[in-house]
Amino acid sequence: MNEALIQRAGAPFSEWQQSLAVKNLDKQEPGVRDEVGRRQRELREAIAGGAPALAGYLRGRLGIDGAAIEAPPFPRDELTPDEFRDPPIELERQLAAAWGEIRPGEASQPLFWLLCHIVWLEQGRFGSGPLSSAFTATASSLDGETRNFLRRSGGIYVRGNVTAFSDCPLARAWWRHRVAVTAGEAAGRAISEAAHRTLHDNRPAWETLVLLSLRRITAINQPRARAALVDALIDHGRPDRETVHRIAGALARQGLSRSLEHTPWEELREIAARAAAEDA
Amino acid sequence: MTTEDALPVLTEDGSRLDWPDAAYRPEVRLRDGLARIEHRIERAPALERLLAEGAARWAIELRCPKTLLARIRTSAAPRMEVRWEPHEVDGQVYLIPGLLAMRDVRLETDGLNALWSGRDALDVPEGWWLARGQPYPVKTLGETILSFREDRTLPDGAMKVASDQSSGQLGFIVSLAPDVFPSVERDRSMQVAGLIGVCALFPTVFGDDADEQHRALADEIRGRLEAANVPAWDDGAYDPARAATAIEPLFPLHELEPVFDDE
Repeated sequence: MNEALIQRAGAPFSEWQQSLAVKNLDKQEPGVRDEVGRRQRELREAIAGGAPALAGYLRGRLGIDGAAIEAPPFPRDELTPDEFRDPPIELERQLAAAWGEIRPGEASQPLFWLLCHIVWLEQGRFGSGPLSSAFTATASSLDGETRNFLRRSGGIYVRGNVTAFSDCPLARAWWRHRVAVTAGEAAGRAISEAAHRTLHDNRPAWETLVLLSLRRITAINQPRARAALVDALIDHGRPDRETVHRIAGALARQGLSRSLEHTPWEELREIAARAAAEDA
Repeated sequence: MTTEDALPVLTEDGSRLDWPDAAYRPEVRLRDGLARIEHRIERAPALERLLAEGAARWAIELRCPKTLLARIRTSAAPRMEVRWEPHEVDGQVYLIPGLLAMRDVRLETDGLNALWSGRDALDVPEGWWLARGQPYPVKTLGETILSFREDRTLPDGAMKVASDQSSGQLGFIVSLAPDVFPSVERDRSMQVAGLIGVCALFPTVFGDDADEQHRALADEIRGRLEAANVPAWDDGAYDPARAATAIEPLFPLHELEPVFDDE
């Protein structure tokens, strides 16, 4: 992705998001609510207008009319709304295989993913049906529709760093596959496929793993620690949020006094497995 | 007594009392994309022997939470250099220095607290942090060139900026009145306001008559502005506010929302 384009669109992107998603909207002054509502209706109309209208709306809001956007290749002609909102595991693998050139420093940014979505909208990758089925479905209010759109098209600022990992289905697909593959590499054995399936099929576990890795227990980002954690999740079978909390906590305690990268693998694995097996 | 939890660690901040006379003093110099570390241990002969035997190595851990990055490098030499690529990181980057046991070792107790005096040596497992430093946040370009000071001569709410070469390198000082100075550490808007003032000095400091020794810093700042497609100080369209927010963008203030509140 062109770094200069991301820089250029950065400030308009923030302004646009803040103009659409306002904390405690129902408690704001009537004038603020009216203005936010007007902007949210504009977005809804752009979504209803179809892919070219929506892409044009987004380019206008980001101040990048006519600019060339370098997005990674899309491996499928188009996705159904269901596939988009919750990509099946085979689709996630296809996407990840096609997006090998994406770098973590890009993939952590909601703006990067929004720019990609603009290109994919222009390419017709989200089908010929109503885009609302993919981008805003299940929300019960205009504000909810707006937030769903922001989340699914790259991420919403009010959710902080976690949004690109959790809220945008295609970004989540890329990150989930990457974490599974890097865990397999660090484990030194073939767990990548099983890791991907475990992280894919147990979304609360994925959400918790990401949240802890980003904010609270950054030691589990060490490759072998993450591998031990994911390996224990595979063995657990149906890990939930608590399972991830217990394993990450046990590894973090170990990491206070020992380098998790230099602790023998069998020891790390045992720590993780023991924590996974504990009763909540 | 020799459970792993109780084994000694020499900490940079002296928060543990295992080594009453020893000190671990890493010197970490950080810039975007590069860190130079010099590890120094004083009055810890048992650790120095482990280093000499190759049983311990100096280590530096790099972490960037926002890209889920964490990696560690070790070296027998006390001077280390660590690089990272811009595409690997996003947001804050930290470096944590230390000294690692590279295998299961016997740590002799000379120099250790009296708690350990009943033993000749302690069994320390592979991977143990024999010494551990504080996390060093990698400074952004803005943080590198800017420092904030309290100025009691300023009236309430006032700010002023000036260039400064007292450290031998060009930097800028933002002076703040006593009533607002305590807020600057946590108020990013105030920090960016200071940087805008500093950017207003660039045409003078980096102009035609600029000192040659400022060239490297000027080139670095110019590169940042060009990457953001923002005019530099020798362009008629130069705008200090736009330049400052290209170097250090303003962030919206917000609280985190819970997961899945709409779905």
